[in-house]
Amino acid sequence: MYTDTAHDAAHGEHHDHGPAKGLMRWVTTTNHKDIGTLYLWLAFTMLLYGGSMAMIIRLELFQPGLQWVEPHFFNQMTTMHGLVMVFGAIMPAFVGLANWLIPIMIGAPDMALPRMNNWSFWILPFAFTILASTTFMEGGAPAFGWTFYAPLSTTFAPDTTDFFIFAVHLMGISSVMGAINVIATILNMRAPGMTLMKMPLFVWTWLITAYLLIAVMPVLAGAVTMMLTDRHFGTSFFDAAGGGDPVMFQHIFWFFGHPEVYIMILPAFGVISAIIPTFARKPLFGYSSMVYATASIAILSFMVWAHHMFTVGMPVAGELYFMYATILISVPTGVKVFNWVTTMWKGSMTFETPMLWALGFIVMFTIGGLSGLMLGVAPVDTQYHDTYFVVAHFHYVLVTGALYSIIAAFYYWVPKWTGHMYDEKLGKIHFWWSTISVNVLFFPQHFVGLAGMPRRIPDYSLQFAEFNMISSIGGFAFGLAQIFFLYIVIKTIRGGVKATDRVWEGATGLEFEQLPSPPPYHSFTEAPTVK
Amino acid sequence: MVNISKVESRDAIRIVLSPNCSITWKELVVFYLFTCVIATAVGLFFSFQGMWLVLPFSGLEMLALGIGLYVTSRKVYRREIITLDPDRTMIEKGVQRVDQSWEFETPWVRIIDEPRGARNSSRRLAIGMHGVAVEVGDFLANSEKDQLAFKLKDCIIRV
Repeated sequence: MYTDTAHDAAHGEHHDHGPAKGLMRWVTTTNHKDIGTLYLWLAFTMLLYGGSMAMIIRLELFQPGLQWVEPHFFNQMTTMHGLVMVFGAIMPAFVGLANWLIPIMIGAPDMALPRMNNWSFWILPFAFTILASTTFMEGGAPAFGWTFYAPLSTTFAPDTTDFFIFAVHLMGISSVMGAINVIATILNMRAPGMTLMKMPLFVWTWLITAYLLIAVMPVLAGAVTMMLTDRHFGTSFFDAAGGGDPVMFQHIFWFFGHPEVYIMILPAFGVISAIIPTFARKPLFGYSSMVYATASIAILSFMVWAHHMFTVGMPVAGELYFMYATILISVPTGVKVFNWVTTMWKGSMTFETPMLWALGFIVMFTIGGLSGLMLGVAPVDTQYHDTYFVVAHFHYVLVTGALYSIIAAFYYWVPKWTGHMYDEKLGKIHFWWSTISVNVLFFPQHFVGLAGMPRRIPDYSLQFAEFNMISSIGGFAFGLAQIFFLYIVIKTIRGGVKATDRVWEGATGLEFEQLPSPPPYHSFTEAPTVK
Repeated sequence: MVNISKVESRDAIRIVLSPNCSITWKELVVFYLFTCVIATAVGLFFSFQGMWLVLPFSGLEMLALGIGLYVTSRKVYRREIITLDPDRTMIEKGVQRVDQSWEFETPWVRIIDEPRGARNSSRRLAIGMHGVAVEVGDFLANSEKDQLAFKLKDCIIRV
């Protein structure tokens, strides 16, 4: 009997030709690399857009008193900053990485549903244009916080909220389509020999992330639709006067919102799990425990949502349950940090730029994790709730966590994507510039938060003046560092030292071992050999 | 994937062609049903709290997931079976059942192997007779088509 393997074929025949020319290439493309690139550029654009709003916020908070903007506009900035960074920068960046990396990591020729992939990207620019356009409409942009709690977002919200609702629906549709594509690709299109437990951690974390997205997106869609019906169709889901319950909105939002936090951090774990072994020149310690820890974090993420709402007045038994369940998450997260550290232990380590960003992630994400542990303790949270301590916590998780991993991923894989090495010196400057400034920006916010400064306010008590000024200086410096990053990105794309196929001495995986740098437009049209 | 075997109790050779697929249909169905249970549980949980509008979105999403997985599986679970015996050559194509079939007389069968696509980047491999040809293994890579063409010619000579 003769047995051999041939690769699928989700695409039928093979195209060795390159991409089409001109602008329409990007509009009509179904190539996973093109769509990954589009997602990454959209994310960078949104990062700068959301970052510019952060600059306005820090400018206003530079000194006590109202300096530059009206309080209502300030609220619009905090709301839009959160929405744009969560839905426009971090999530699309990870989807971009998924598009670029999952097929070449599992030996697939493309994503399973390429046309849907095109749709899921091209919905997003329209969604964000709709959202951003509300800034220039009567009533202004949403100003009720990124959590859009009712009744602020229902009874007391401007008419532009309907545009916000429509934009959120579009983002949700895009996310769901992306998640379906990731699931179908990973389940159906792995190369022969690429068993589940041989998949790179990045692929595993994305499979679990996609599952989380599938599970929680209907909740978000339901929440904003109920907002819409409360606003226009006479329902009272969240209106106490009509028999509804505004606190229920917080439950429904955080049932979506807490897994959403893990949607933004699980792929980061996958990125770090790829980078650390490469530069420690050792295999990842405890691969299977990393997989199980990721799955555990995902499962637990559904059971802890009310730790965001300890102050709404829930029964003590409820507070105790949510407190212990929240603290339980530190166990699988600790497993991950332990495994990364153990991977480095006695490794032959070097500190190229991606490794610096990965190490920065481990140290500072752990700071964010520890402050999260503090916030998970119900009696303590009563004091911390809605203070700048919370702002410091989630920025350590999302900026020095998620964003750092995205930047680390860029430096790690960009030589593979473009065939050009980035400028190592500039990369290191970018890292140290960002790391110093981000700590100047967010670390003092712990102190002002503990001292009682509330979040989402344009003015504050004089006692917080120094720390806010320091924080603003850090913010401006961090913002400038990302403009510098833009320069590095463009410089790398335009040219540079030719990257080798393996790129890094310690790199493993199909994308480094079996594809040239840059990979052909259509890669793995024949099944690779998986060891 | 190209799989060649001898048909038991007959003087015939069977070649089964299928695209690469990394999950069985049964596993895929179990995965989908499990996901539906989770989504329905979440939707029902909120419905019991009065927030029933989550449930239709859960349903819509499961429908979309089902369609996505079904469309992908239609591509990866298709089979092409070529059965050659001294008299007849039969080609059957389908997903889980025979959707199309052709029958030729083996002594007259011809293997057509011709370049196709931009810069002849791809190949068309077909089995035919008297001006009628059926393409086989369009999902195979060129190297597999080479092997398949060789095996087909070899089988025709042997039977």
